[in-house]
Amino acid sequence: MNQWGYVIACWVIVIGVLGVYAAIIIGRGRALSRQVPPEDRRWM
Amino acid sequence: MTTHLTQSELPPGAAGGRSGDGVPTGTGSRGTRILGLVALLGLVFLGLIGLWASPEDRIQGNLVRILYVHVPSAMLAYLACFITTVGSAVYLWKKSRWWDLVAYASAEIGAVFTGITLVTGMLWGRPTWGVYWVWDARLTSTAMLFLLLLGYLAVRRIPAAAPVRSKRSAIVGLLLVPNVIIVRQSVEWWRTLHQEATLFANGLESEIHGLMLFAWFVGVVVFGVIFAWLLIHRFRLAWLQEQIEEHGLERAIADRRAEADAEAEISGAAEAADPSPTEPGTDSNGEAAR
Repeated sequence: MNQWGYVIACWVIVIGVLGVYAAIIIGRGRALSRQVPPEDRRWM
Repeated sequence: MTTHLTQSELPPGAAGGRSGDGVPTGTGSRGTRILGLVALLGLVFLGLIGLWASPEDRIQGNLVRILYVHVPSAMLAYLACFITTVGSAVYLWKKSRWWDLVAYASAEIGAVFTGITLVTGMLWGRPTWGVYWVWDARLTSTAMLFLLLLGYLAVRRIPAAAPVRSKRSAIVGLLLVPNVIIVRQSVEWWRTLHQEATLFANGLESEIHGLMLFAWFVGVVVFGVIFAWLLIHRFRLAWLQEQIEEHGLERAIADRRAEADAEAEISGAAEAADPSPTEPGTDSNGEAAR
């Protein structure tokens, strides 16, 4: 693998990991917010 | 002793991301949507600066472009550890669940950034040093920091009452900043393969300049925005988890009480319908038989 291969691999891993992690948080948040009464999830 | 979150303890946010009845549909709000948009645009800008506009390094060549994500990841991992330690200390002092949840959210994000730091460092090390991994003081101490963060998250998952769980994890959280100091100073304290600090090695003086320094600066700012976005969402997720846990416990207690009341009612009714048996030798009025 040449230098650009390592560079691209790094950037893809960073953006991929952060993207997947963000998606998991959003997904779990949406699922859990349905189980919590509305008065307890007003983001003030 | 404060054990319940109040509205004033909730994180700042705006009124966006609501369903028709004005209730948020997830962990998002108008504030986090704006922050998320800024993070995405910043990431695109960082890509342009880091992968295209900035020049090759005289020694490292294009591998320097890895450092525009590796160094900010490491810095944000340190920040996450700092927030976790502060949150843990405040929790142990004030028993504030707000700070406990902030510490928890920050530790998880810190683990993600530390993992990214290790992987990007390995990918930089392979073409630079010829190996993915070496038991160098900086690498080893960073791996220990990663394990400590995983340990913190594992302690939080051990089934226990909320105050016990929070106290245990807060004690682990206190160890993070000392570990970060060891990681940061490892290149000074021991002879290491890892290079010494390039940025702020001599106060505010930097050994890199121009577009390289600018790309690094953009990287830190963009990763900082991503960190803030993740922290707010992760905090709200932890808050939702706590609410579900609390409501579940309250529901279980209410169910048990209702069950006990129903049992008492049934036994009371049975006693009324079938009075207690009379003693031998007495009639139904309790008088002695003649």
